[in-house]
Amino acid sequence: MRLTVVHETKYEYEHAVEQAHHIAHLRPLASPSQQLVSHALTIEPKPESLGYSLDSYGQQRVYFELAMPHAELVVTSHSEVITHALPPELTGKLERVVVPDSLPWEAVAEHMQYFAGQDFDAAREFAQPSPLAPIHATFATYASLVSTKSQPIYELAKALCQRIHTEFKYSPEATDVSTEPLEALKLKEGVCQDFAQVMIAGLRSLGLAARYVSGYLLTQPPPGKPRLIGADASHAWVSVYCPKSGWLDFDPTNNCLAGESHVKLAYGRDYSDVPPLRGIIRGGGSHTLDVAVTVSPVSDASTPNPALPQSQSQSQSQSQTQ
Amino acid sequence: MSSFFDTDAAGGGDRVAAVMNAMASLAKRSPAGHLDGLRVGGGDALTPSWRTFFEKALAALPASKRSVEALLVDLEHSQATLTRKIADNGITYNLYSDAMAGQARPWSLDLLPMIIDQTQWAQIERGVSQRAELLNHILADVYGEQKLVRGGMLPTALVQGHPAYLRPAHGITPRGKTFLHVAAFDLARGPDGNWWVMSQRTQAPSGLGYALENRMIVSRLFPDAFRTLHVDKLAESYKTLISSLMAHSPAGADARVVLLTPGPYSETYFEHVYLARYLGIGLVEGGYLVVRDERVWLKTLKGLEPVDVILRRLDDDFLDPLELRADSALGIPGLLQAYRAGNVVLANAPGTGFLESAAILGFLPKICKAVMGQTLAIPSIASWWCGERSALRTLMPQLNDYVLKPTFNDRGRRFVPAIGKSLSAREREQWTGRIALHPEDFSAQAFLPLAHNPSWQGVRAATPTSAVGSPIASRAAMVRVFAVSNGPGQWHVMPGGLARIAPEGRDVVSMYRGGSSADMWVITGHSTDESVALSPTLTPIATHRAMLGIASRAAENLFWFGRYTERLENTTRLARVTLEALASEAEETPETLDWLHRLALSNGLVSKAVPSPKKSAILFERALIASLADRTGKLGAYSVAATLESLRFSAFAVRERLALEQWTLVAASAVEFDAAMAGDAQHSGESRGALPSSNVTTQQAPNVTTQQALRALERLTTNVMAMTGAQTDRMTRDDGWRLLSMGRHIERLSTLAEALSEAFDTGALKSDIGFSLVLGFFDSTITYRSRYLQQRDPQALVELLALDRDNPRSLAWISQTLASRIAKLSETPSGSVPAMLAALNLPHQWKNEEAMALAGADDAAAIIEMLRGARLDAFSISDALSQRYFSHAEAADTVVGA
Repeated sequence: MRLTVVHETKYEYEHAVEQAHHIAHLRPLASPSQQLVSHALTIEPKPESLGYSLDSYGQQRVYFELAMPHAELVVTSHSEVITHALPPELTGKLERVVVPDSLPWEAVAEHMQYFAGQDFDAAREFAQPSPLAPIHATFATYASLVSTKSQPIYELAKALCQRIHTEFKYSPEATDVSTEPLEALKLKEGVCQDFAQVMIAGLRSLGLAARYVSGYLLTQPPPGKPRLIGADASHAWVSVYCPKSGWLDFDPTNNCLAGESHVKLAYGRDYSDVPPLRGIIRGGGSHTLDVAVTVSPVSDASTPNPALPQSQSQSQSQSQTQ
Repeated sequence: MSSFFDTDAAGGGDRVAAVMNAMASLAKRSPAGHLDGLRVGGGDALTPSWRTFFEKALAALPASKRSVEALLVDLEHSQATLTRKIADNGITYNLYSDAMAGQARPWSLDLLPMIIDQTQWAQIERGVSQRAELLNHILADVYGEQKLVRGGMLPTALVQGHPAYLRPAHGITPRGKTFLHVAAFDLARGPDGNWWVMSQRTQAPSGLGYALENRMIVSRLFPDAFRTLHVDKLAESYKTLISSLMAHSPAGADARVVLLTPGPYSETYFEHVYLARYLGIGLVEGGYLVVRDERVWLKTLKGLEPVDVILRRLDDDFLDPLELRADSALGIPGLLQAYRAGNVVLANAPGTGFLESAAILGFLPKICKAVMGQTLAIPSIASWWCGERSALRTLMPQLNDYVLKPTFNDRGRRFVPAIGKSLSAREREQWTGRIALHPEDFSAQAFLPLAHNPSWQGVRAATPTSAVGSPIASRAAMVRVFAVSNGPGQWHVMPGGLARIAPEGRDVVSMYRGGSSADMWVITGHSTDESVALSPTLTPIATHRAMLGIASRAAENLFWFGRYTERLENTTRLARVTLEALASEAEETPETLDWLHRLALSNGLVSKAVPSPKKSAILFERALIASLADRTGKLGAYSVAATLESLRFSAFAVRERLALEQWTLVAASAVEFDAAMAGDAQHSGESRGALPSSNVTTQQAPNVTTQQALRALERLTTNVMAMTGAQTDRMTRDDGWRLLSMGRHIERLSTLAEALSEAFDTGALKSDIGFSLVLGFFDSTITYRSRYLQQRDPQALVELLALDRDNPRSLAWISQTLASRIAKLSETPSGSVPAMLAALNLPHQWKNEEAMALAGADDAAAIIEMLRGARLDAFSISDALSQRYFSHAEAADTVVGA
């Protein structure tokens, strides 16, 4: 599916900000499962300095500085991508999904261990704890509730994903971007970032490799209503590794696999590796932040597709005051 | 070699030998299984180096006094000198809690050095240099191609899985591929005399400053032994470091280098100050650096100046809140991008911390073989990572033989190392359980019985001839040796370092846990220049580089140093004037008492809760005396001792710009004043008897008599004169000094203007007594008497104390001086301060006739108004200066994100 994404982030400051340094991870990935047709980033006011570089996973990172006083900052990313549909048996709610064959999870955990002279596997990095997806006995216990002996890893991931989806309440007010997954697990509340990080921490605590995917989701407008501009939001889900079958993307927020409605921005160990936009400002007083994301098919037929996940009821904009 | 000694030794050889034997037999032996650093092969004889050491110390005594007893007494004197030097030089090692309480703890240094001979050193030098190269190679790989992890030579868990591995630094190659500029290795000697690497410090190793300071002190206590043993000098290593740092910057010899410190609360802050000064580079905190155009700049009074090299003592995590720890208030947003762009040399590069893990040591032999084709010249102590299952299976059944260490350094996973053989059965079971759960979090090292070094305990420790409680004890020791970069791909090993001594009976060496340090004497056999005397003072080793302007941080601290100096002078004088007045025969008028009371309140001599002297002169006086000694303001006043404390703190913060004597004077004055206000009273017999216990304010007052307090204040006045004298005569007239001077004049203007306006307002000037007290507070009694004889004339008073341009305590002189300092400072672009100044009507701009007329008028309201205005103007100038020059670092950074 050909999709356009417009992602606008707007900061309004109480007083002028004297200087600001920001880093953005806003360029969609170009990969076998997703082609990047075009991408443009506009920053207003124009930064005094702008630097592009690749992060340790080869993804683009943009650094920029604003040295002149400014009371407002708008960062807009326009992208067009082509995503690919999953085979029919992998679409829809997880209950009806038949996941591909995979190794027993214990064998995968064993594969993640080190022994001298072993063959390299880059996935081992994602079995390590990270700041927002650590290894902890609480997560191991939580993941063990759905695991059985010799269960194929994709089945385990599917069960964990379903459990999180069922047990957790979607609640934008409960958490923020720095909430630790242990806290989210205690609350059983949060947004896509929390759902994803709890799932990753659960898998890692069993010795398995999982990574965080930052991206967007195409949502369907209510039947008969036009698509609302800015009604979508940034999204996040989980990629799970099997040495035999590779990575498979699970979306615990929507209880499905990530398919053609999911647009990938960047992979990381957790949110902290790939925040879409992050900055350090001096001055400014309190500020409000508005994020507006619009994902739309290029030839928008707007015909409801039952195979696609339903609207996520994510907040249309978030605002915070510090 | 001194001919004096040779002739003498020839005559008294037997006696010397007897003394040496006595020294050997009275010094404690190392416990069984630990190498004895003092004696040859565990026998009775001193090693040749130690024999020379003691012989030279003995030879320095007068011929008639060369006995073992005299030698011990002499060593005792040297110990006293050492202790005094540490106190005088203010050498400290903070624990965080100490620094918060404003009490740094004195550095702990043993009298006796650790001596390392030529053969041992050759191996150490080769091994340390090789290891620095190896670690640098590993860093280049791990932040580049990652062949080592791909090839299975390093586990992913110890690199990408280590919290100290910094992903944002991946893909960055620093100039010359030099990641490490200072690497430190903790070495220890086993029972067989072989050296082992116990741990590696690669982030921001401490010790280079303390090593130098130890050398400065100890080498001067034993100059003959130092010379005769051909101990290698250290200065060359510091020169090498600084030139190598500059060589790594595109700016080369023009490179501007700074030392980045976390600030005065850092446990090794003393060393940052000391090192910056010795290396001749600026000391900065993160708040004074800024990144613009992907370059690093230092905020100075004259604007932003580029910085090319940062020698940093700030840990990785804190370097850049944008890409690393967001809550770091100590770092510089954008610093990593400046490093990525190749615009700044970071020494060391960010992201080296994972090499400090004990788990890494076990993988080094194979990597060294593979990438350098060599075996390690100094082996690491046998180390295993429990995350490797085959190692785990071997280790688990025999935990007793190992020391358990944390693999990772993050809060959740680090722990205090545990020595297997000291664990109880139950503890061992608990450890086994913890390891089984998360084996990767644990590393195991073989237990090494550390070699011992002699440690001076003092003659009082025992009778000189008994080995029990001997004056020379035996202590476990380790050394920290430093490799510094010497241009790309080259390493220089400093012939010396920091020897660290364990507490009695302990086998773990740590400054943090009550250990001590020792100077490390290395005998390299390289020829050292005998003619070069040890440098008598700490002179910066490099002076050829472009000097940085006065950093805003230094400027602000100097400004407050000036204000507190002046405030101390004023409060001290006011306290004296008040106490003298209350104690005098003459009856004070109520107006005079009012004046004293108001000034006492506004200058912080007493709290509001204290009854006025009109109500109870005795309670007022006791409260004032009690507050004098109160350093923390707990009595509700902020008097002399509290001001001294603030002065000490501001001096500490700007210590790298003060001559040592200035700092010592401030520190010593505080100690002296404390002692005079506390100790002496106990046995003086002059006490006035019990105070009314109902009075809360004075309840805890020390039992100090008025006479004692006055004596303490008098002594302090002399010290303050020495401080102000040093500020006036001994400092270069740069912008930093100008700010110091402005601080003093602003403080003086506001205090004296108030004293004068209150003198009119209370009517104190209407009595002879009040009139002369005012003159006394202005320190202008003699001038007034000589000019105006005995007349009590308010107009004459105003002329002398407010309008005179030649009296340094007159308001006009003060404001004129202040204005001229500002004019000089403001030759810089900004016009905001001079513009503000132009709008004021300062005392030196007052019309004399007009002011005199107002002073002579029956109604004093107009002159009071004018004087109060002068005080307010002083505050406005202070605000304008801080807004213009200091405001940078106050603004906090905020993290924003979506």
